[in-house]
Amino acid sequence: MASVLRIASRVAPRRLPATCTCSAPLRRTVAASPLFTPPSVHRQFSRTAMQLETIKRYTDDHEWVVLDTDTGIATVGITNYAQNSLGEVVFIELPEEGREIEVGESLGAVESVKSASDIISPVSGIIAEVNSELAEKPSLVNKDPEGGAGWIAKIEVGPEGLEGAADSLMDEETYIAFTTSKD
Amino acid sequence: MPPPRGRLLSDCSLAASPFRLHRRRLATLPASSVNSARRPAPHDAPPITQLRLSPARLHIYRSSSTDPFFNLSAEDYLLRHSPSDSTILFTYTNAPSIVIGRNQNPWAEVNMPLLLQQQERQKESADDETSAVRLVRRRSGGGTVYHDLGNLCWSVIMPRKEFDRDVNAHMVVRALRKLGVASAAVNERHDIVLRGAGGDKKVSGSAYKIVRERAYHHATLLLDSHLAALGSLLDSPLRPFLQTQGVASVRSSVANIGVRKETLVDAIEAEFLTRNDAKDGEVSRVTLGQETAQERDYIREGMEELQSSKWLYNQTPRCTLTIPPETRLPELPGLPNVTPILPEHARFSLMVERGRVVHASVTTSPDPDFAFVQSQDAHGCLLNKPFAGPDLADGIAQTQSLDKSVMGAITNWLEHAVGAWGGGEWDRNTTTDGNLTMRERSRRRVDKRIAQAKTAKDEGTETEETSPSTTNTK
Repeated sequence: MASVLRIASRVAPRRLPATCTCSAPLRRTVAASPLFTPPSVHRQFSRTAMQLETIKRYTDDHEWVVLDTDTGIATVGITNYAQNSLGEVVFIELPEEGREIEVGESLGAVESVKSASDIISPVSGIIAEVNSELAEKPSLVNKDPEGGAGWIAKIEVGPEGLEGAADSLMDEETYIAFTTSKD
Repeated sequence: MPPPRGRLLSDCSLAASPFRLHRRRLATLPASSVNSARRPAPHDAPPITQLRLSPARLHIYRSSSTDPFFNLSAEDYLLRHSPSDSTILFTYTNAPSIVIGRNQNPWAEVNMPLLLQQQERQKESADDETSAVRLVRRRSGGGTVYHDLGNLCWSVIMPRKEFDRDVNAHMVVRALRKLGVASAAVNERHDIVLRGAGGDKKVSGSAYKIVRERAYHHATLLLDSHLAALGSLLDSPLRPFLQTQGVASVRSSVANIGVRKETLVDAIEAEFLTRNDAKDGEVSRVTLGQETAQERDYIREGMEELQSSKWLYNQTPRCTLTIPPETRLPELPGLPNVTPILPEHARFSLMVERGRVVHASVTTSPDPDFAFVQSQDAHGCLLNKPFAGPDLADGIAQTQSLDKSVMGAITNWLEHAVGAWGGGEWDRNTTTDGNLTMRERSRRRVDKRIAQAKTAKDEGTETEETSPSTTNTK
């Protein structure tokens, strides 16, 4: 059980409501143990509270990244601001699936009106999946840059990397302020 | 002047975040200049080593080298390692080379058999190997251009927020007009043309690169270029048979300007200073020589990457080669009187991704059942072969079921049309002389620091965790 608690605390460290309770079977096992003495402070976790949280963050390279704390996967794309300033996208150079990538490295490039613009990886990890539909239809990045069609790559990051990225990258409010201050 | 990301990162917790270590590593890497720290700095250290710390706002660089790989890598260095609010003008001239865009297909853009034949002849005459026309894939977007000593390359590196596709072209147009080229103008494709009664003649082709908060606009400028060579070398025999993703070149009629190079460089530099409102003490002037590559690992490793077969060929976007039946294939340079025709019922199609065959469909039999067997056979023999002439010929020779009398001439033609690959080995972790690359060295440094941070953290959390568990077992 200790290991379950440790994992739970790593995945969702601060987001647990104070009022949640143990699920019934778990409590029974714990109570049945002859060695168990309740600690002075109760720290209890519910399974429903920790699941499925996605966090959207932005980088100063005008990319968005959706961090899925459940699967440890980060989905990367370019922002609406970026596609707007680049103009009509004619080709997207996608990374190879399975490639290891470090934060700050280029994971591909977007070509528009004779300019190649690097896509900088906001996280370290392994390329889990690329949006192969962009090979045929690069214009999806112009039409739906931050929706379901315009994502570029999914990167397997793991919980620690996700937490680091969530802490260090911009949230939506900060990013909007960042783009408006540039003009 | 700190980049904005430093401010954004300042409130994150260091212990839990390898991310910050990476960011910090990447931010400090160029400035820390591994080399100069290790060996004593020579008295006449080239100013490029001080680029990151340079107080100048405007930089004027010239290159004394004509090596396209050096010049493009030095340009990339200037893009990535200059102060983020500086503006740089870099001018250089390349020895004869065909320069394709980052996302182009060399077989669709370049007449490979002609290029290889010319390179072979140069090698035989052996006076100077570097005078042979070289194939180069640049890092910026756009189409294919031809460089030689009669062509001036100019490049303006600027902050991304000032990036504009026309501003710098207009700057060069003003310099040209001052030298008496009154018909110079910028067209809707952001290229410089000479306006005339017979239509526009292109004299300059532009391309751009954007990385983080920096961008460059670089362009050619035809002064006294060998334009006849340009036409034949860019006429690919395979183009009609290739269906490619990526970027195709836009053909334009071109002309030379006929201005002296030195005069023009001076005029462009003067115009650059006027446009950027230069004041005393804001400008630094540097001439880069080939030896700079020995001083800067980044430039040397960049040159290795640009010259590798991985960058030249494997970088090619996905394409499909289809030879249509009943079509006479054109005669190739270096292969006289071979103009085969694929018979009516035969099929020949290869799909190529990252420079390798990912799907092959080759048949010669009119019988559909046997054609299916042939197709499977050919697919098995060609799968994963590099898209290089000798490898394809080798794969087809390995097949058991194809009609050799039909395939013989086609294979011979294809082997010449595709041609052998040039270019060296490249690996992102080790250089060709066996040392670790900058990327790998910094990765190992970061790994070590993360491991240290983790040990420190584990020691800290262990004491925290053990206290409740001891109460549990009591």
